[in-house]
Amino acid sequence: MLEYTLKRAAGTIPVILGILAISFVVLYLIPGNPAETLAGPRASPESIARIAREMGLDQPLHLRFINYIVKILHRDLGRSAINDRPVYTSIREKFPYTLKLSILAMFISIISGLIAGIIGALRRGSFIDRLCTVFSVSGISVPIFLTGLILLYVFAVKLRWFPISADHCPNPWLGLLLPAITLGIRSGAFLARIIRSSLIEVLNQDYIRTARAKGLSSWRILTHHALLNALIPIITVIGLDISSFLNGSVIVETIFGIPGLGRFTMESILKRDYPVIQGVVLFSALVFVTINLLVDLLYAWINPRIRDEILAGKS
Amino acid sequence: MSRLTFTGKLAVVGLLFFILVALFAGVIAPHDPTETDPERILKAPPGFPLGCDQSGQCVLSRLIHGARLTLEIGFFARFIALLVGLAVGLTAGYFGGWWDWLLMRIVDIFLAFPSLLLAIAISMVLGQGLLTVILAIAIVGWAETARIVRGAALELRSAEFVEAAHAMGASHTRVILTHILPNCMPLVVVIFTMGMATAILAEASLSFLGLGVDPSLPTWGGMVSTGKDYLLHSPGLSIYPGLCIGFAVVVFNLLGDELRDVLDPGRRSQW
Amino acid sequence: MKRTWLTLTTILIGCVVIGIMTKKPATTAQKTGGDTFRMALTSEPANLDPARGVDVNEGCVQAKLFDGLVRFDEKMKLVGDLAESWDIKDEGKTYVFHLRHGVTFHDGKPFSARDVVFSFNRLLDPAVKSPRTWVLEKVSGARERLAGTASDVSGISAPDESTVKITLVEPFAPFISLLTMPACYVLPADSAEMISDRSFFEKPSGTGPYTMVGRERDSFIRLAANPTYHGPKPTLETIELRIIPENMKAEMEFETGNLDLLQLFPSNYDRLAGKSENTGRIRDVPAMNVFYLGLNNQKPPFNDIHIRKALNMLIDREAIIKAVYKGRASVAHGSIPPGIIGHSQTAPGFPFDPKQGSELLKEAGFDKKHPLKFDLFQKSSQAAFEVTRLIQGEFKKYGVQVTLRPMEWSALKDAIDKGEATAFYLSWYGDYPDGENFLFPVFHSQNWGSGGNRACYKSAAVDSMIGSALHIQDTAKRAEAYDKVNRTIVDDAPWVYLWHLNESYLLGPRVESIEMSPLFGYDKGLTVTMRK
Repeated sequence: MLEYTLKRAAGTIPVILGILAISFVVLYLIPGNPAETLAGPRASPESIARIAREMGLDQPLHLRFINYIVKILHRDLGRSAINDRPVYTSIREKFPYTLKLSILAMFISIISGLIAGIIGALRRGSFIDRLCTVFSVSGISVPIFLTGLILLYVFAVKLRWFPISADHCPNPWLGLLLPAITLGIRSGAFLARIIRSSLIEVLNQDYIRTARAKGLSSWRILTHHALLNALIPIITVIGLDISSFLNGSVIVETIFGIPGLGRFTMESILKRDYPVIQGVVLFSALVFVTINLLVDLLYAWINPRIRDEILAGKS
Repeated sequence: MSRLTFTGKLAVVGLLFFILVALFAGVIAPHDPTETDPERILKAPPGFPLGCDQSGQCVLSRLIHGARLTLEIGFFARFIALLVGLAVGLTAGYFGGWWDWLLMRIVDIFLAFPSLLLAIAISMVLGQGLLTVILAIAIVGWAETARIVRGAALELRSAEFVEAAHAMGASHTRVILTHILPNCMPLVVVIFTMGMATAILAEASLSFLGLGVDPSLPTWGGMVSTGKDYLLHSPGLSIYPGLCIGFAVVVFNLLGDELRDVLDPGRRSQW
Repeated sequence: MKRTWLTLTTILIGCVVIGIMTKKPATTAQKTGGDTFRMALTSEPANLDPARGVDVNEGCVQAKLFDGLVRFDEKMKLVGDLAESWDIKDEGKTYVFHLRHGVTFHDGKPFSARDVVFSFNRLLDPAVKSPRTWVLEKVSGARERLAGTASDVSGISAPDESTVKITLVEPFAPFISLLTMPACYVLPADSAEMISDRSFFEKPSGTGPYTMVGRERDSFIRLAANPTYHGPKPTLETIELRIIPENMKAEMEFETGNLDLLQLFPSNYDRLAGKSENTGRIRDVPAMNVFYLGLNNQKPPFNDIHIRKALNMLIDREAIIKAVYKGRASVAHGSIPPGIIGHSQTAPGFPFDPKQGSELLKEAGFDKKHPLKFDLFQKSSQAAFEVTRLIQGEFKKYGVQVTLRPMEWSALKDAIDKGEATAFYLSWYGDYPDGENFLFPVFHSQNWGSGGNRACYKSAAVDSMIGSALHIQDTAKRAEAYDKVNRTIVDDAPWVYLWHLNESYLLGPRVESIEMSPLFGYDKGLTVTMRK
């Protein structure tokens, strides 16, 4: 396992370097002059040039890239072009909100996915299976901003069961519920499809049929045999979820007013605060790579056969 | 057609409807979708079935023309993504070795960025516009295609008929184009169909964040975005285009599912 | 298989632990007693540092935390703030301020002339990189300080504990108005170190009527009344500033009773104004702005005055104001907005006269067969589109073909400055209520191009008229001089003048009374009273 872990971890190094290069190039290519934005509307060309010099914008490209990597190793993601705060500090301040939202969304996604998937597999072809299919297809297809706007309009504005802004609620978990449902439904729908098809596959296997013939109850078969196999896809989906939550949080946090990473990104887009956008994109990519690494390791740990195959060179 | 299930047939009908609306948008739409009028702002004068938006433009006409624009953006974005993805995937899978390693690391890098954030970064680099949106979606989408195609090419590389072609002295280009590519075609069709759904959602999300095409052009995502400030006044302005997006994505998703089952039943659980 | 269960359980438990251990989410929903006033800011104030603030959201917070030497009160009358009185000597070249006694900062430290000198010197300190150094650029010694050749500003001194003397290089009548700007707010000299490493602004200590007691970035800022405030006792116990960037969200929060003040926009005005419970609660405040289509006066086709005048005559401003703003704007007959020194009710401006406009176009060689075509550059914001789309439609009626070119702000600025954008939709928001602010920055040839005169308008006569108006200390006479400059510029039609937009606010049911001036964005929160 240790050998596999090391091998897999080493594999992420080129990816991380590539991510750094891309995020650096993106900032370099962005049009407009960040110094000008910082200087404000009535600034003279001289003061713009001065600010540009202080921001190191006049150095050659390769030096800037090396500086960039060195700084990142020191957890320095640069400073906001708008308010001069270190980007790292802001991210550390904002990430817990997004993390919390993602965790709640993950719960919702796993629970709704399990329920819809199991029902769909057990009552295959029935009305309720169709209903679950409709749920999963529409969950995947309806854009999350629409889900978000509709939930907000119905449950917060009309029925007033939930607060309009998640940050304005005496019970913080209650405030996070609508945004978490908005995010979670989508991945729940994915999960439901995967669980349903893998359960159906397992339930058709010979040993399950034998077990059933022996008189084991459906529930016992489900929990002891079939579902165990379905748990592996769940873990895979959890890894993918992190990425989709980081994506979705940009929209959902804006709609529901959560002061997390997503809304921070949105504000930075509106203000064209490039160092912040770059920092957030980089941070998200690194989080994603880390989670994927963990998921892969878990996967290998649960299923040693995969690990051995990879170590044997059959990737 | 006969092999399709009921849902599949429904999806085909939906797609045909969608394409027809897009093709004949100019004929069906009752008005010019970009014609403004201060007198019509947020009113529903006769002849405007869904009323007018905040610039006095006919909502129905914008929805109809939106079908065309949405389809165009999705198609071109996926087409570019497909070409790049095929080139990378086929060569990586076929040649293997360090070339495969290098290309796959690049693919990994692109897959590591959360797609929406990457698209945001790209559209900031390229500046606002139709081409930008298409490219942003294409850049985000090619890596997934490349990975799947590479998997297929890797398997086909050692297939008997490929070995036979080699033995007969066929060039690499020839083998790839005449033996490997045609065998990947079912896969490609499915990826493309599913990809259309993703592309439509991506375009909508970018527009919603104000990074899409020029808001005077009728795209569905842009309509949701400009209409959301009027959510309490006239919810239809953002709900109708939102539903259109949902409809289009459902159609492509269902069709993709169906094609996968029909064209390549053995592989269903892998993608 | 046991491993699978184990893993899943571990993940779930791990999630719960992380969830509980992460910071408690921000919540603004604390007790909202009778004396709490809740309003929304449209974006997170980037800087609480007065020297670095540029937008109104920052100004709104700064104005409540800090004070300047003088300020405009709610009736737009210039009154003393930290200065009790002041004398203007040497024909307007020297200002002597007599400071209020017994003023303390929020942290209890006493305020003195030293703090004023420190703050003004800091504003001009090149290391501070203030975007607002121009506010004090007329002070003698400012140039040297900005260039870094002097460590003090020779024109600013404190003869004693409670007197500040400022000398200008030449008489500059609007100077006292400039001193009301947030850039001139006074910070404690004793905290110089914390100010320079910015930690001061995490818990700022000013002399203003409110102190900051809570803040969560991108969520809220909470202010509490300062019991030792030197002016009238603050009428509110707490002010809660919620950061809500989406108009739609602010509207929803207001409707559910979570905000006491809502700014109205074309998107929500109709609906809210139409509700019976809102009658009498809407406040229309004239604001210090002018909206215009800038035309590059040096480049074809707009170097032809016929065309510039024609375009001015082809826009039915009243109709657009009615359609978009429901009449909450006044037609611009020049660049100086109503209520500002130099505005004149009788200025003619340009009438809506399509006939004469078309004739002028014909003289310039354009008609329906050979239409005038140009690109109109604009910010890619929805508010801009709601106007430019209509203008495009209006022009089309008279055979003028306009293509809209939306751009992000800094790209737009670039395009204008490089002369690529020869026609552009912009607005100019004044920083202080003096006609000079609507003439000098935007039309004086010294500010040519990126300096603010983006239309590249050049007139020696106007330059010298502005110059001499600035020497006039008497307000009425200066107003007359401004008006004359304004009319002279209008005759050259460097812009297509559009309108001065009002700002509209809707008060919540808990608000008993509030006074709003064109400078409401910089209100000190001293006139709001709530129902018990």
